[in-house]
Amino acid sequence: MKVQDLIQEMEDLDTQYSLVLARNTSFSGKKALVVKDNICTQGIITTAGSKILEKYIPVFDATVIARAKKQGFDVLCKNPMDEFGFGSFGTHCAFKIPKNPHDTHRVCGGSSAGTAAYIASSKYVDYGLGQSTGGSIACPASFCGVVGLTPTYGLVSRYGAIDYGNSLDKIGPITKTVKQSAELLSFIAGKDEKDGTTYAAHTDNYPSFCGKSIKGLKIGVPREYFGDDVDEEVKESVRSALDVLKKKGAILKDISLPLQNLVVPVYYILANAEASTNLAKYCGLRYGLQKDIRDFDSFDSYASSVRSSGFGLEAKRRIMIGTFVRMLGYRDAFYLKALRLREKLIHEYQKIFQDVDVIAGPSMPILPPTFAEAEALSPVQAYLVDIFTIPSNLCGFPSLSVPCCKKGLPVGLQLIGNHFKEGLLFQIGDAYENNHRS
Amino acid sequence: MAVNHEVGGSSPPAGVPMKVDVGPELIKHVARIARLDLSAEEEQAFQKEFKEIISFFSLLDTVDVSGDFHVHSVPVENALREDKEGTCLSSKEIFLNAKGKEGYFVSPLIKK
Amino acid sequence: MKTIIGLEVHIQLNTKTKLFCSCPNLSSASPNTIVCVICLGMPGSKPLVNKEALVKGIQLGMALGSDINSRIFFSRKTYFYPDMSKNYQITQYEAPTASEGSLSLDKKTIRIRRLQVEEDPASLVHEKSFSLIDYNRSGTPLIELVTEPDFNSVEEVSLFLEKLQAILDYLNIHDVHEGSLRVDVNVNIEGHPRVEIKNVTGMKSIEKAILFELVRQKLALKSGKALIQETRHFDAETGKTLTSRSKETEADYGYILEGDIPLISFHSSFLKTIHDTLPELPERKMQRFQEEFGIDSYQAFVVCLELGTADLFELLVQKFDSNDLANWISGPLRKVLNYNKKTFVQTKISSEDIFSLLSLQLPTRAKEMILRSLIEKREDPEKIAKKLGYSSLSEKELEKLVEGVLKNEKEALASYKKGEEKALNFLVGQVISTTQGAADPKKVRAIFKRKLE
Repeated sequence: MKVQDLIQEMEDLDTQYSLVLARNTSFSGKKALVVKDNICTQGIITTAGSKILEKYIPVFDATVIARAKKQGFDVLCKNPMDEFGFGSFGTHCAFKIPKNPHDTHRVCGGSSAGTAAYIASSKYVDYGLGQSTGGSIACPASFCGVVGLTPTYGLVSRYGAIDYGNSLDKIGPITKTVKQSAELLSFIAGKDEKDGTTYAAHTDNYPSFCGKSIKGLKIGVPREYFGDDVDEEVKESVRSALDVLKKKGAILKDISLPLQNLVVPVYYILANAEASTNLAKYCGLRYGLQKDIRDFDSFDSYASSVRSSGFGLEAKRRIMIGTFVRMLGYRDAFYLKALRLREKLIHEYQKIFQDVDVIAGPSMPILPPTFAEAEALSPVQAYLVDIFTIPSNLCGFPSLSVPCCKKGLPVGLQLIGNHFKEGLLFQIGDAYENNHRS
Repeated sequence: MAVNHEVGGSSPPAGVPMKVDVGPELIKHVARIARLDLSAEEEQAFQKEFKEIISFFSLLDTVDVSGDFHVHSVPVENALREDKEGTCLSSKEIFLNAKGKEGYFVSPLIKK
Repeated sequence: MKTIIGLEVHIQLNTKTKLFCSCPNLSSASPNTIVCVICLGMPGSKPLVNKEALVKGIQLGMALGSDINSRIFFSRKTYFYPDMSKNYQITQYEAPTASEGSLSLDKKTIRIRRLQVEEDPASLVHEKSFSLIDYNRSGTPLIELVTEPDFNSVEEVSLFLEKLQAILDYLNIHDVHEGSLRVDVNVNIEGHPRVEIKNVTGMKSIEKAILFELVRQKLALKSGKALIQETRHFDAETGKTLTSRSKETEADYGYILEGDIPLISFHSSFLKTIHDTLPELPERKMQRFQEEFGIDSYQAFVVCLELGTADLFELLVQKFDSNDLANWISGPLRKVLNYNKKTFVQTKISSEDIFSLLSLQLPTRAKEMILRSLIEKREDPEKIAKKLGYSSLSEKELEKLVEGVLKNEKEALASYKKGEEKALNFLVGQVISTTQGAADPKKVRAIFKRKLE
């Protein structure tokens, strides 16, 4: 494979599926890495999928980029995404809306839409970096039929990740195989002095977990994940996948998940509250969309005009909600209560992990919808689509989404582990993948 | 030397729903705080959506929960930096993404 | 009409680096030259807490007898203003560094409600049709100290700030320069709405602002006008307070926990070390000086205003009469330091120089002129004296003066011979005033005693 082939393919994929934003014009020809556009790449335009950062050029690399470069990678291009991470379908993108390579009438999933679609459709590129707050790695991985690892909160540095929710964001690998995922994670994980929230726990040798036997490992299967509101095809694919694991020696256990009706509202309260403060900095000063100051008689009117022009509807919606839930008079009942509920949820889930090694189920309750179907959902309905990815994301647990459909549209099998148990996820995911492939 | 370990206030008890009057004034107020110029259509749309979303959030009213809270889901603590000088940005880097004026950034006039 | 005043004091700390990044913490530099991705609020950057800033906050909290929070977390206070690099300030809301402290004035105690560590915004320069922003100051560590509304007069406020500045000096957590200490003053007449005067710098401005505001409020009430709760600012040129355009009200800050900074918990042994290594504070030192050296409370207060002058006193007190030394330090030295807007340490004059200076048999006025010269350029005080044309009194000249007084003050002499020690003080005093303070009282007394044997 020559660099020219890589570049040509990139052009083709962009033409076919709209998967490319900024390109690295000085791509060195090393191992190619495609990167979600909310991860800062020095010298390469980084927009977070938003008009308000249309021409923004970071002066530094995110730590994950610097670490990947040390391991012989180079950034090939940046991929379109839901603006700032606000979306589950990959449709709230300012510049181009990526199309699902399996069926171009359908969405890629969000918000790491373009990255997942690129890995799914590229012949040459196997490694991508996505980012997740409530499920933005697992969802597009599931909808595009690729492997997506959402690491434990605090395992991978967020230095250089353009913030959505500071206590929720994670950067993780999107790849073709589980082994590649383990590999890329091992390159980027670990404490970073530039990000105070990276936890000092040692990192495991993730690739070494691939190929290990899964005999005796206990897999909890929540009954809530197989209800009537979950697509039949999805349930079927996931049940087959679980059968494969059972045949390989894993023990399936029926479990029930606590407080399921609360996870989505708790998540959206916290995520939007944090997001509304993170997006306050975009006001036409120092970087991003700027207007002619002479046209405005006050900073307030200038900032409001820039923000209203630069943010899409979904961003405005989340800013509004996020601002509201932390306002005096409401913050006790919404923001502070959601914080306390998150604590409670973490404790409840950790009780479950005393009895099982991982929790397994579908990554998404539906098959990738058409653009029209996604458009027709109300905000709350759209939020509820994240019902399976939110619990782990909210509580900081790692999860691995592995493609498991036999035929038809992609379906993802999601494995969720306790904090810092990525190794187990790779172990099981790899076992499934190898059996599935053979 | 007394040391304070307590943190945090209290939330309304379960069963007492949070009463929110979602009217145009609330939407206008929130938009103003958030520095968003909304069109009339956007205001109307948000008002409708707010009602649905806040009612959805009110599921939290069904549970009683008290006690301490953390902002992080893993027990990360004490990320403190030594008081040692590092490197600053060059002028080129500082003004890469905006035009300055004689070394300053420019903003519309702030009137006192 | 009872006056009620409360203060919010913003104190810049003298750490080497800023609060959340390792840019140098400098008070002056060309605009936008000491900035980085963090203090500029660039997308993707993350704050990193300067441990030393927290330690200094704890030191001040302890010096004010506060409760120290062993678990600290930061909060985001969101509001839009061009001096805010992120349009939120990282501060402390639910869990301040310290609370429930106090500082005693002579007749009352001022309660300190809370003490928190937070970042300073950028600085603004206003041109005719636009504002210019310099982010050098952005991220400078601040302590915000909030008092209860316990003040009832401008004098109390001034005394409080003097005492506070002394504590800051002793703890070495703050360097005095333009704008390094800013105060928001809350003033109201009892029973009437509170007015906040924001961002006043300098003791004189603070006093003027309060006085103007009190007059304004009292006049308004007398003429039947209603006062409103509002925010004002002080115009140093006109000496008036003026209405400010409204920023955000309390309800709009929408505080959340700072998600980029993990919880900070200090071990009790660490806190104990900070407590045990606090220096002797001004109150204690003042007390000790009065007890050990017999100076009065006013002298002790002024001498102990700065650690530099207190140390100077303690170093030289064995060599000079303690009262005279205290008078000189709290009088001429204090005057020259105030005029030059420097602390004694900042002048870089050594205690040896002061010893030489005070040993010269010269009038008080002459010593002051030499001192002023010393501040400009460090030189041997004797040399300066010669340059300025002053000559010390010689032993011979002193003897002559003593003889002269003995001749003229026969009554006092007689009293002394009868056994009244006080008469000797009078005689010595006569020589001192003749020489306009040039003569060393110890030497003069020794000469008298010799002659009267």
